[in-house]
Amino acid sequence: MATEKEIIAVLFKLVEEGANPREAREAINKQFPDWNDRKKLKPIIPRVEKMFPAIRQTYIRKTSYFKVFLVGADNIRARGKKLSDL
Amino acid sequence: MSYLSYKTAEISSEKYYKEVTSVCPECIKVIPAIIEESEGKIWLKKKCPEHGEYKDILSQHPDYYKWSQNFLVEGVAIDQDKRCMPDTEKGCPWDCGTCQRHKTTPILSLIDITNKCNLRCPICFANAAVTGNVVEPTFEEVVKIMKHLRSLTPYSNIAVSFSGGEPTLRSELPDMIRKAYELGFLQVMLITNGIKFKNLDYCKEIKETGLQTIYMQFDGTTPETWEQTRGFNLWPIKQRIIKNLRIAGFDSVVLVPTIARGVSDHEVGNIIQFAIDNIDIVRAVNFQPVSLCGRIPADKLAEMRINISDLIHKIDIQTNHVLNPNVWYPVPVIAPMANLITWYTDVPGVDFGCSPECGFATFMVLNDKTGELDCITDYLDIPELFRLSNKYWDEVCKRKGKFHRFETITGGINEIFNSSIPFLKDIGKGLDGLHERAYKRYVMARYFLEVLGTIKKTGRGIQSVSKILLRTKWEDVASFMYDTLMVSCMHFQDLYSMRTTRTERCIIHYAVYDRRDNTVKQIPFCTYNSIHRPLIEAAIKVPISQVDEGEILTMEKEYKALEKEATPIARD
Repeated sequence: MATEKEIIAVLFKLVEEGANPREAREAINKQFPDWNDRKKLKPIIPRVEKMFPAIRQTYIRKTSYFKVFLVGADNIRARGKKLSDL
Repeated sequence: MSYLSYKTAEISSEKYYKEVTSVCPECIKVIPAIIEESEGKIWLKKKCPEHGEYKDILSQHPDYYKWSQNFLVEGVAIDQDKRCMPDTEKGCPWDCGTCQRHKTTPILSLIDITNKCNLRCPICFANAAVTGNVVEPTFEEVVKIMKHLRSLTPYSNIAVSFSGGEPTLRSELPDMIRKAYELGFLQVMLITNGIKFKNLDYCKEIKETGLQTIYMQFDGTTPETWEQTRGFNLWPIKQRIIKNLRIAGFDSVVLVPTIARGVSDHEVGNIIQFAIDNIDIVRAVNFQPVSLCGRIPADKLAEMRINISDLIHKIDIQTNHVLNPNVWYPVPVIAPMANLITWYTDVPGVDFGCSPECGFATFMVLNDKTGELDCITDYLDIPELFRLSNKYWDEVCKRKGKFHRFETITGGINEIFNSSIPFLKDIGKGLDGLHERAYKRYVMARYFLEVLGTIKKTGRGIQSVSKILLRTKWEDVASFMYDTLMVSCMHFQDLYSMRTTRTERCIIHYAVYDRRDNTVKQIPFCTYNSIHRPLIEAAIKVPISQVDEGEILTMEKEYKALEKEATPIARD
């Protein structure tokens, strides 16, 4: 079972490298299947945010990056299905 | 007239018929035309005495076309002294500049800063490599254009976009963006293929200028589509660009797919999904059905033509009916509301009084509880909002300019007693000001209360309305765009589909410096590309052979490097 520290490090790197919220969530789900849970992920988000410089933190909040990330990779969809799966 | 959604509106069964004015696609002379419903379609039919008959499909869905016509509104015309073109015998669309008949003010002005390009798209005929000429206004001319746009009245232009060619090939671009902000533009945009942004340092350099919006060419999400539209597989490069823009801190990217029948019309669902995946930085997808340039045989024209209603029906199917025809509205639907906000607040005026045929839009809203993307129409009764806004705007227009009662009375007192007590006039003015302010609050309070009745779902519905109506700063109104995805379609006219009734309402203009008479002209987008571009550019163009060799080599070098870098498609 992965520790919070590991998740935070991986998530930080994903954001830093420009992954979109869905990609980031997919990567976390794949690498740490037991962390595919919004309730578990939510408390670590402020810790990831704090690793970025202030200006970047503002940007991340403004774009609702983690709000979308928490919604979940397979759930960001238009009523029921990923459009690309139609 | 009742304003209803497409779903609930009763649409007249009478065949649509309207007489309009168009141009001959061959000689571009102004000729009469008719818009007519027949064979289950809406047609534009015209006859040039010299070159014969032409017909073009305006809509494959007559009911949808007829319904959209309900949303025609009065625009806010530019003041007469800001128009540089007198009416001539040739008439619209030859008098652009703007002419005396133009009915609206530009919402966005485009400035072409170069025709150099680092791509060689098979569908493009205008870049420097093809024409053999370089067309670039000087930095000083660009500044003159921007100053003119800011001086427009009653609505000064607040949005400007640098375009081309490929504007990132112009080394002065960062300085131009800075100058635009210095001159007071609130929204500065860049229309680009994005290729230069594959270099992260360049992304950061442009971000430092303060540029807000990147309007990026985006044709699809498969290598095959890119190969067809742009000559080689740009898909991996486009994905890299989006990541770079995110790293650099951009938060407003608009994806701009050009949709051609049989080439990219199967991609609309994929493109929207890509936008959803990147909803943190992608604010909108603006589909543009291809405009047909050059001379095309009639059968080929009918085969290639794709228009807004076609596209909306394709989006309906490819989005599992989330974005069905009932959730789209023509752009002018927002006009009376925008006018009211401008009248009441400090938010600068923006005119949405274009033709209902110019563009349609809808919004998807992220519901962070369910993880689904809802439509704005789930939250608000849009036609009712439009009806109310229209009602109140009409009321305001009738009352406008009638706030001089006290000033008139005090002026009268001065006259009667043959005195000139200056403060008496000031008192009158002050009382008129108070009266006007009280009237504004009275109208907006009633309007807001009625608008509350248009909210279908609380939460996001109330948030949206209050963000737009109650706050009084541009930034607050603009913040509505976050957590949402705007999906829109804009169909520019070509010589086959042109109607002066649309042209004279155009709200997207090219702003150019005309060296023939040293004036700044604003030319409606469609007429510039179809008619005026070669005339304006003839006075600026410089043969490639006379341009600094280094510049051309850079352009060629970038193209070659890209050709090499583009991932070839694996074929069996």
